Amino acid sequence: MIIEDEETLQMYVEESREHLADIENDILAIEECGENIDEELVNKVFRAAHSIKGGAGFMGLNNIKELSHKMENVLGMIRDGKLTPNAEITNVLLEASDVLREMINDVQNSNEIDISEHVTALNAISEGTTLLGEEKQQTEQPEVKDEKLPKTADTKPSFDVEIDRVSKAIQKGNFIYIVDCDLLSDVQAKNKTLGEFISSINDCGEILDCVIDTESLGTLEIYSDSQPFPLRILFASIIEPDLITTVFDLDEGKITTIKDESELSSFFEKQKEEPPEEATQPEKKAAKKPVEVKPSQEVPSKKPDTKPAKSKPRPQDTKPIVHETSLRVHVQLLDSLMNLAGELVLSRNQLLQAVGSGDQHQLEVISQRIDMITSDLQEAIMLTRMQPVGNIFNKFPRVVRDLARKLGKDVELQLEGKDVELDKTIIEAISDPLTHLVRNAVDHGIESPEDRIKAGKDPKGTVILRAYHEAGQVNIEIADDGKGLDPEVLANKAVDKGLIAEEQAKVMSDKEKVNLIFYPGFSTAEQVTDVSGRGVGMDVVKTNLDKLGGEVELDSMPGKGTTIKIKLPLTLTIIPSLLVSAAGDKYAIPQINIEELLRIPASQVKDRIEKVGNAEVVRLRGQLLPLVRLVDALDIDRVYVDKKDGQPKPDRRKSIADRRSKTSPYFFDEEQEKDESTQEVFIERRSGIDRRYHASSAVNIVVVSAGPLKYGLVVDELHDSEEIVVKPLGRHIKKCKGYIGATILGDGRVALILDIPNIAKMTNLTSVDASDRALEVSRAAAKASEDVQSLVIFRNAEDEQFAIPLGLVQRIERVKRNDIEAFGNRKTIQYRGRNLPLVGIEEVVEVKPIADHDELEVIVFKIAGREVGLLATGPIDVIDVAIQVDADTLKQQGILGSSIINGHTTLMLDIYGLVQALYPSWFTELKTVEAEGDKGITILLAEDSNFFRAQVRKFLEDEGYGVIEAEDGLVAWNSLQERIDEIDLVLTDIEMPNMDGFALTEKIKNDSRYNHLPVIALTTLADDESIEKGKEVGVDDYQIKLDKERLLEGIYKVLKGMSLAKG
Amino acid sequence: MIEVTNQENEVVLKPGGNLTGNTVQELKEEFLKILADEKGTVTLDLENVEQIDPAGLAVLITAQNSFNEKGTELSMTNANGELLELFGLINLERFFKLD
Amino acid sequence: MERKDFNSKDNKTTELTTFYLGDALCGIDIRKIQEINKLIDMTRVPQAPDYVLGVLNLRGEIVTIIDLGRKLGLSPAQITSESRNIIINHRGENVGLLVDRIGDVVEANEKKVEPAPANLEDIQGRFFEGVLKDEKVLVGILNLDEALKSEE
Repeated sequence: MIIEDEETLQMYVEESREHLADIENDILAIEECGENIDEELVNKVFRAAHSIKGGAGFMGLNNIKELSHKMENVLGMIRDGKLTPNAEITNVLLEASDVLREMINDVQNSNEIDISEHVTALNAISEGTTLLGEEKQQTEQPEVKDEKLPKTADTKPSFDVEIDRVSKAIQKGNFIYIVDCDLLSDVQAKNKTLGEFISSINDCGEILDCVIDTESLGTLEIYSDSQPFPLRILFASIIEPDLITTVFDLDEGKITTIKDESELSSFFEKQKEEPPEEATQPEKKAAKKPVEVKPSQEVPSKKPDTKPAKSKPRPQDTKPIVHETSLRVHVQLLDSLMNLAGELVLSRNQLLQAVGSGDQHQLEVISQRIDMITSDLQEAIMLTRMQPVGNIFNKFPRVVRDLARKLGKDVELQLEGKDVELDKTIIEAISDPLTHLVRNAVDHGIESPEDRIKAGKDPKGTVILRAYHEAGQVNIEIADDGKGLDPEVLANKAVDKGLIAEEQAKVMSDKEKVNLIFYPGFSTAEQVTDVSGRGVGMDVVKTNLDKLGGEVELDSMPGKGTTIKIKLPLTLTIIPSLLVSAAGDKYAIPQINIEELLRIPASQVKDRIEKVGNAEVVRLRGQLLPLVRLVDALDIDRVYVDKKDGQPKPDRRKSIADRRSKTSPYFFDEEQEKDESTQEVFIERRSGIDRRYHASSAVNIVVVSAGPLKYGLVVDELHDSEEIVVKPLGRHIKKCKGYIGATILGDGRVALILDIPNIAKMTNLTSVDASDRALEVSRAAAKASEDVQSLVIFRNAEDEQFAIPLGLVQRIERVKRNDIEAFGNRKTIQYRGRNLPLVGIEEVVEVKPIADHDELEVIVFKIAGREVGLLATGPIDVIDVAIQVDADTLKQQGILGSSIINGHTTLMLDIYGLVQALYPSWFTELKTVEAEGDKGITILLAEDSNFFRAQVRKFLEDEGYGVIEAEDGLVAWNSLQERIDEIDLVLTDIEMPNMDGFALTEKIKNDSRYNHLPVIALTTLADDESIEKGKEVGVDDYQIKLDKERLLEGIYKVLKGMSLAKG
Repeated sequence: MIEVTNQENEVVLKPGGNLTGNTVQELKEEFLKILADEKGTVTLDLENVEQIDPAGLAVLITAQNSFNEKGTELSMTNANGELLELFGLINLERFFKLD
Repeated sequence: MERKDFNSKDNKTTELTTFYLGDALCGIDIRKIQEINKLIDMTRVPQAPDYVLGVLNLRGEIVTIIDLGRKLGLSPAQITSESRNIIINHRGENVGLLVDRIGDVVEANEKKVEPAPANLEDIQGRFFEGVLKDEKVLVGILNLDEALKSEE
């Protein structure tokens, strides 16, 4: 009966799991060692089995006990050198450990599991009755010893023991003793019985042999009890020589210590003949050996492939991974959490005080602080869920080994980066895709040894599984040196299967062609074998990874090998998203699914939105994008707006004419009861397919992607981007396909998070035509031109990180703290013969004060025509990174927003705001140019990064300019065409998808309608090459994006120049 | 106290307790008697014997020697597990005829 | 932890919170109840089963609100000022049950509990563990597992 105590049982299971954690790899390592047995290692596994066995007995887990016991036996034999671990033995051990693990994971039912075949296999090994494997046979010498001893006076009877036993005993750390005692004087006289005497010896060690010279005692008639009764014992014990006499209670002289086997020979007088039946090698040791122990090396014949009665084939594919429900967390992390909690408490107390006293400023300061603490807390908690990726990596050596053997290939797996950490949920989720990719590498990547030799490669193939951090993401690479993929073959296949059009294939790069493998439906019959799994294509891998917010890409060189690179976000549960509303409710769309935002102005609706069959599509840069209305996808009811509270309410009326009843089903409003008539205003009819787009309203489309499929989700309104916490939905709703969870918004209301791939499925969205697939290709191309920003990263307090665009920095100097002079609360330092004013971030922004170092860094800027130095501490880094800036959290004077760089929350410093706060007198009003008539100046701003566009727009508008935004060159061009009358100046980014800044400028300058417009190019990297190119195409001026002052100056100058020219 | 049972060709000696002290002396005398007597087989019933002291063992061994020389058989029966184990440890299990 | 057989418990009395679903007076063991709220703003969940009214934010947790009457086969609830949300913890999850009106707390001595009839005011008997006769009224003790079983 299995022990009832849950807790004890659970503890046992946990411990056993730990023992079993490494067992697989250890067994494999033991196999590697072969004859050179690493005793430490074998002992480790032995002890693991032993511990499991011990507890199992106590718990009543009989099967576990038996199996581990059998394993223990085999392991013991390996350790003792009686067995050489070979492939067969290793297999048996591995399989046994698998079953053992299964049983541990299901202890309650473990006694029902059939372990008979494993037990049999293990027994077969330990009893040496199997032909499998090599065994060092201990040849027991049969009755070859002489029965009678030649009796001579000085012949002492010799021991009859196998030399090996002695050797082994010595190896184990035993001392060998020869005890000569006289039973009469040493035992009888001391009133001990024989039994007592012998037992006391046996308890302290092992009696290897015992000799009584019976002959010499003579016959009964002549026996007298005063005659000596000699007894000789060959004894092995770990008890040391100086203590051994107490065991025997004998004088020292009677005990002889034997140091090694060779000394024994002198005690042996019997000669043994070589038993004729063994064809063996003679012992290398001293010739005079009564016992010849021949380690018989049976050279095994090549193992036949059909193994005798072995266990069933490994069901690798179907073995599910059991996931732990507990975590190991570093104590340091828990300490951090404690600290943060403490700080939060302090801040809360402050908050309560401030609320009580009504101190507005204090409230702002405290809320800023709580904001930061919450971020840190969030980060720390996420870190607790981080587990080393080695947890899943560790199972792959076995997978590769088994698979390679099955396929007759020789493959070595190298693991790198086992310590890289990932969120627990992600680790569990990538386990399957990774397995598939690794198996693929072995199955399809690595060639057979013969093929490899023909190709001039090492017959042993290598697969490298590597994990590393880069740019805030975790990268996992699976690289093999196999035969690689042929881009042409893949492209042709894709065309044949109708996945892409021939024209597209022609323009694709090799890399794009090779990545076609991720398209659904790609796997061909040849590629799908039993080993990798039928129908489990690369597309499934990709979809799974997409769901996690990860990306995958493939690189291959035919003949050389293939590398698959996976990028994963560090955590799942907090995701950046875009909030939208439809039918009065807010929904969240995960950022990872969003390609771009599209707003079709009312006037263009007719042109751009068309119908293809039953589906609505929009023309997007020459392609057709299928449209899905969110309200249709979710089958949301029609809405009307209740005039009283302006809230949209679900409309249950069957026709417009019905009057609403007083009570509203969801939103109870006490006042409404009293209201006699509730006026309704009907916003829009939303029903079925025969909807018409109202001419007077623009259409908001969120272009989303779901795997290779791209579509436009039509919503009512677009709101902010936010990082949201994903909360699970309850049981009753979990089944709804449209949502992946819900989140709580700032106002406390709940917003559902849309499941973009499923929504596509729900609306039966299939590609409108094959050109949709090509969108994938263009997407890949677009990604290449992401905005990369050069940032200077530095610290103020040791643990708070800041960033500022490199372009703004004049230079960086190092100064001694002591050299800083203070006047009131202003700081300066002597620099190049002048006073350089210094500012510290903490003077304006609510952050920790600068670290107390003797030397400090000063980052020098030019603001409002003067030089000013920002105090900072190192490490100072310059990095190029494509950042996502959160412009809402942590915003305050002097801070533009925050981002996560290199895993740290980093505040983007607004140096202008900082200096402005401290030296407002420096700033004079910048003049704006008066335009003709009463129209203000309007600037066309082309910039693909939402963040930068928003920032630049902001300071343009602050200056009084009107701004027309365009999210890429093409859109800017279109806007230009429509609104040329309004536009006075074009401000364009360089790196943009679809049409970059240079192309746009060129077009403008070459078009007589527009070439009067000044074009200013915005850049993050002002290198000479770009400037040259800019000049070539006719850029009027180059400015750094966030250098507000110079940008405004530049605009002013250009416009002034223009108006002067005109005037 | 040794119980002596005389049968046809066999004498059965059954010590009443351990082969220690005086019993050993007694046994020796019984053996000597039988040896002198030219009788046939002797069976030593060890049922009641739990312990043997060296003197006892000496007697057994020398008796065995004597009987061997004489050509008559001395066998031992009903030895309990511990006794058998003991004999095994000191390698006498083949020396004596145990069953 | 539902007690299937109310009557086999040792002689203890428990308290029931009672409420009306239509004309039926139902009861739930008071210890299962987290809290009782007036209705607040819910977010509806399109595509959810009919009986799911929506979700709301209960101190950071997303709680599903169910029209209990509808779930048990009655017509959709009419929201009035007396409607209440009973938040219970069922199978590790907090769920809100929309009921028409809250009744009194009733002491249930298991001796007075009888097996449920086939129907209690239009609600099928299988949703009840038993009925309690209290003064003149009949209280149907809800079998939450059965009542909240998610269909499909």
